[in-house]
Amino acid sequence: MKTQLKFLALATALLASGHSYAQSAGTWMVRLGAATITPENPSGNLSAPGFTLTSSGAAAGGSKTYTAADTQLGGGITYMYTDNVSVDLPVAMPFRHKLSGAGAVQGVGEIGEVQALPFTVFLQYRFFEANSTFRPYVGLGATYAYFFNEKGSGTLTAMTNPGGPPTRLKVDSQFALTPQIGATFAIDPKWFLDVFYSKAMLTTTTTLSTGQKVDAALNPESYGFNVGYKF
Amino acid sequence: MVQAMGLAGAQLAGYVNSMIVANGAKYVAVLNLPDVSLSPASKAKPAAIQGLIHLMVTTFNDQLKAGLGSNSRILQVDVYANINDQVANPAAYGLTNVTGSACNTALEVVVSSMLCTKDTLNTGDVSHYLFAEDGGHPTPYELKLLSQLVARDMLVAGWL
Repeated sequence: MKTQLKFLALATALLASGHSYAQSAGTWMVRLGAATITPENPSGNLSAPGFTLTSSGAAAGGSKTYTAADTQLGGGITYMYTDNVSVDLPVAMPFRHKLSGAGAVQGVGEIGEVQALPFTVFLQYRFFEANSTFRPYVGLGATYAYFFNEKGSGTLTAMTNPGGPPTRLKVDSQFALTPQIGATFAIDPKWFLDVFYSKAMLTTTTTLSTGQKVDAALNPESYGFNVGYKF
Repeated sequence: MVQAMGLAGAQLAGYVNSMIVANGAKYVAVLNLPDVSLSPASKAKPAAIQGLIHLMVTTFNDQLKAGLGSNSRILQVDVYANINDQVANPAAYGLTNVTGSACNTALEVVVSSMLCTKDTLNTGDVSHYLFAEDGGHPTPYELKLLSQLVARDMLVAGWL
């Protein structure tokens, strides 16, 4: 909710300066909507000791992790540097990704969860005229994916350290390059709709308190739908 | 001998069914036998003897499996297949040795892993050996791997 309040404060501040309706140089835009992050699955193999056979005896290569998608309240602020070049800062509530067993530990259920807060700054190029109703855009972003509040479950402990202290986990925060495509549709001179799709080239390592590691090419895909307002 | 092992497997399955499950137990995990023919003692024997031991184990396991049948109250943990896989891919399980024994069985006091202590180990790091002694008893590390295996299978079965 804090994020929402910030939006409102910003919106109020910017309303006072309102001028051009088009996405022309100097225009500020804010948007609010939903954003979904879908990571690639599964991870690589957990380092030894893992399992290589499933419970039904099939060869699965190793113990892997499945990272579930999550949808959160999201939005962003865009500044039109020229009529075509913009700088965009997406904001969102922290994403909460559930982790479950895959590969040789398929079917064990939830092994933990991690929260993620991706910070990205996009440099975008918006096609067509500044006052076009429909403006597709392409962007390239620099992302810092911050992972926090990692939690391991009893299931994780049972498989990695039965009878011992609970197994904890730590997901490394990482920088990533994030290409993006999207488009805006003007509803009226002030309001517009925005859709985007981006994919961060993100690989990270998770370390368990048992000393085991698992690498994952998460390469999360993000997409979102927003309602925006121009100033 | 092979026939006797088959009978033993069938009898064990019968006991599980008639004495445990029939009396109301809902969650019974049954572990089959590992392939003892892979133990250091068996490996030291001629191939024909190893083959006989292997056949005894598989006959026991086959009868056990058939006798237990398909029952949602019984979870059959395939120790046999998993230890075979450990021997085939030791690194994936963190095992450093799957052929020798951790205990120094040349010592007279060590007739079995039960009498083996930290003072009667073979030299070097034996902490991640599969076998404690020639007969094929597991090391503490291997027992931990087995406990993780049973826990994993119980989780998949929805028992944990």
